[in-house]
Amino acid sequence: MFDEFKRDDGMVILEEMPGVGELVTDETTILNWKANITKDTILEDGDKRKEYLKKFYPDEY
Amino acid sequence: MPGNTKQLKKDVDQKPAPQYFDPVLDEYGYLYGSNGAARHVIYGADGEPISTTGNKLAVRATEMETILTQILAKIIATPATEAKQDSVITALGTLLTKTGFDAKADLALSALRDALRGTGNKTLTDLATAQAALAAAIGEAAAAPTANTILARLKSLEDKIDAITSGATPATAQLTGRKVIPISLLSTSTSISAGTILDLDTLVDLSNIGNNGHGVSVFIGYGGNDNQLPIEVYVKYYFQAHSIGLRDRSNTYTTVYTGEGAAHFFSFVPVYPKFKLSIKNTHPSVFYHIGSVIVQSGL
Repeated sequence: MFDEFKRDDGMVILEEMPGVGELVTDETTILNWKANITKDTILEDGDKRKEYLKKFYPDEY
Repeated sequence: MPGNTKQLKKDVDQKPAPQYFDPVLDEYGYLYGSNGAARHVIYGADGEPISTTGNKLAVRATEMETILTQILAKIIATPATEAKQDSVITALGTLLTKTGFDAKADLALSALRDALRGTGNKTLTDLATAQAALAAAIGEAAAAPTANTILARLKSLEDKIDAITSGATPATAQLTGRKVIPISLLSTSTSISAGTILDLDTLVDLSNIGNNGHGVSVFIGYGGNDNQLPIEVYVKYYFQAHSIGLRDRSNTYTTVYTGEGAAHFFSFVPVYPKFKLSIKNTHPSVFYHIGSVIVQSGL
């Protein structure tokens, strides 16, 4: 499910920021997020982890 | 014992000879003398015998001694002698025989004057005139001094300094040193979620500013929250290949900094002059709000 977002170096692109760069992480980190964050988890303003999970698991978030 | 208990000294005819009584020896003694007079001991006003040291004869001997001492003090300890004068004559003769020493010429005032003023001027008036001319040339400040005099050149120098000071004619100066060039990699406030890496797009190219083994300083400013968060900073080097263009030198992240804080400042020495930086939020759950990334290096 991450393949379309994966780069050559194996990192998963979370977000592309024009003029800034790319926000990336590895698969392990994403699975770790998924284990700790549910649809109802409330995160701080500015914390986009649930947003990223929704991108990879649209049915669960 | 008194003298009337002692016997008088006798002469050859057994008659009393001229004599005196000595109470210390307690006897009479012959009276001696010379040049038609008997010997006498002179006593002073205090009843003590006149001596050469303590009890002197009242003939102003003390005043005479004082004056004599003063006179002797004015005379040098070792006065000139004929022998000394002869040695001076000998030394002077030796001096006069030295090569190039001409006593008459060296002592001549006219020669001294010529040395000062030149042989063309023979009078002291000429020397005074020359001194007056020199004084006029140096002189006091003049609005328009004669060209090429010392005063004129000083005035020119003064005018140039005034122009530099006022900025009308700035001095051309060459400075040496390291020129620090800041490169902004990020100025947009950005959130880095826990465990994620922000790969910055801007390629830092120090080859264009002559960086050759110099270190770079990196400042990372926080962008809203001031949490003391742990981050790691990675570097990826790039190189220019003639056939394929700009390529990653490595697919791996090389750590150049690990630290914790809201803002971060560190230095490292790049292995290659072209590189990009990446910042990882290594906290397990809290996002890092980053505000700016600035790299500084110097020529």
